[in-house]
Amino acid sequence: MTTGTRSDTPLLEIRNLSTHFQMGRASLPAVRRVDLSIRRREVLGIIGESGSGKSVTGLSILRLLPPHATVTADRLQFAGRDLLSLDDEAFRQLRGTHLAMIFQDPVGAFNPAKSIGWHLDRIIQRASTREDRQGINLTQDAHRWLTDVGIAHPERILPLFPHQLSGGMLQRTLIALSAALQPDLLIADEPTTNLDNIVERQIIGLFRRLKNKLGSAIIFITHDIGLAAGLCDRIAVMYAGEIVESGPANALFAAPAHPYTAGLIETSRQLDERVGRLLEIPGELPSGNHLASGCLFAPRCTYATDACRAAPPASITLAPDHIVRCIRHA
Amino acid sequence: MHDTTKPLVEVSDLVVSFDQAGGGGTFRAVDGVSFAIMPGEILGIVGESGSGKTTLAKTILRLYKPASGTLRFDGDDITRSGEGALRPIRRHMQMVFQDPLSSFNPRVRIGSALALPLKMRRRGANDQIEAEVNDLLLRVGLGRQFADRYPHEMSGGQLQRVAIARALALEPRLLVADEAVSKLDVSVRAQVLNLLRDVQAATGVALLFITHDLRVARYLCDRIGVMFFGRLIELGATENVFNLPRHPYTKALLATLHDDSSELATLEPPAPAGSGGCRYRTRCPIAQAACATSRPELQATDDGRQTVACLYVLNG
Repeated sequence: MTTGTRSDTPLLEIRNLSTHFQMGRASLPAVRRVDLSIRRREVLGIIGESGSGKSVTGLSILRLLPPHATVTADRLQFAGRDLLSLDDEAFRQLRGTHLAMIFQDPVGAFNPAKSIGWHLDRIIQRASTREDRQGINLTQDAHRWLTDVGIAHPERILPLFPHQLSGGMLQRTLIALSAALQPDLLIADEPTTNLDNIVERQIIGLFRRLKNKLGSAIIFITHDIGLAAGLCDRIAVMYAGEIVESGPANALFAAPAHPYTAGLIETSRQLDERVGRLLEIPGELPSGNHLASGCLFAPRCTYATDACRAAPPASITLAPDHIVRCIRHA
Repeated sequence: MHDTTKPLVEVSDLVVSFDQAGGGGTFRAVDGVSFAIMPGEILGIVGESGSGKTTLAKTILRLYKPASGTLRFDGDDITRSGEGALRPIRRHMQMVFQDPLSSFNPRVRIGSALALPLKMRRRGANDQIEAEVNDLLLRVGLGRQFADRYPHEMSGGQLQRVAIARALALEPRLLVADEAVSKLDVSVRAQVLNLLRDVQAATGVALLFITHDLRVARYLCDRIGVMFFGRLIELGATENVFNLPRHPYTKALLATLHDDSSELATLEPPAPAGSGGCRYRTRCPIAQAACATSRPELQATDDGRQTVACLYVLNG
């Protein structure tokens, strides 16, 4: 595949990805029938509530799930390589160099007994194994990234230990270290959820700059639709393990096609306009072992008909790149 | 009926301090705070984590003892009251926490958990209590079938409704909600916010709503107080505070609601200053020499729309 590096072909392409967890004799679906593609220099937001499968999707891509999870897909292609056929050792070479992930809690990403400088050295060691990073002064590069995330004097934090930095500082340090790897794909899972409003906004600004400078693709996983709106080029909305709608952020916010997407956007708007009574999406997210046979959102949907409950809805293409799983658009 | 023109809760120069780990003196989590909660109002307290919001709320419930200052509930000074004196007052003040699962005994069915406060109230035969439990469940939008469930058999949103039902069982006059919708999923949050509004309107309970979520606070609250490192630095009607914030910290905080505020220059915030002067002065764009020596107290602004604790806003 010679077209793998062209910017209009996807860097990552996923077709029909499913992840099941073995619980005793039962096999619980956490992610089902997921199709995604991400191009370079693109931020894809995955929006969903807790239990919707958004984190499991990220972890499935990076093979970071525990042994009782099974990941299957028709296609999992990254920069022209078939990730499904890579053995664990080859995958490890890719992870932490070409692929990287940032989590909600930065503390867990650091070894508490080692200094920030020690972590930086490890990252540089890792990055230097990449052929396309030869001849670059990686230490200097990493310092520049630290300055870029607002740490004016990186040398001052290098001797410090993780617990000596605030949550916001630690998350910024982690983002800088990840950027220093120059990964082709960075997956950020709720990276600002534990942070204060002011720091959160700063980190979103930082991601925006990263996207432009790094040229990487970023998957931004969040439950906050407002946050995603300000950052993402494209959005995928997950519900009960499935992507119910995906498309360009502008199109999706201007004309959400799935009733769940529309409900989330409408509640968010109403909250800001202080309407007397908020629109409620009745009911709750179904749990893994009580899934409906038809559309998973049907039990909460005001438009649901017998046809919705009869069979799972197929993907419907509304516009190039705007896809919805709802029979109202069939 | 209770007098609705007198404050239900009155806090004056309240200080709450904790011994610092490692024997390093004391730390003032709440550092000289004064305000009042009126009967039937929804007062929101916003601020970042560590600003003292929760400590303030728990002190009002007298789960902590103030180091100094005074705390009045319905006119009675309860600053230093012992458990015996607090007991008859406690039923008038109830609390709903962030994580509903951890606020229920995992081995007690929902119906029994709701019956407990009713039984402690001294009167009522068993069948009457059962009817009241069913009524409480209905009031928060759950059916009576939930009475037989255990906490782990319910979702977060359902359990938070039960927590609200339990708090309402004794018809309190003050309900403290500490990040009560923060852990709920977005699609469930609207249900619980609507419920809180309904409950407030139906019972006239005063609500002290603690949150770090500015949008939720703006939606729900009549008045807003902003805390920064143990200090209440601005207080006023929600519209006034959000439309025209006066304190430099409130301005910075509310700017995060608009998307264009990713100013990297302020990325490495210096530690807040000691308690001698204004604690915000090390981050403040308009700080001057006097801010280091004189601690600003809440005072009405020139237009009288809100109160603010900033020397330079007040002196122009």
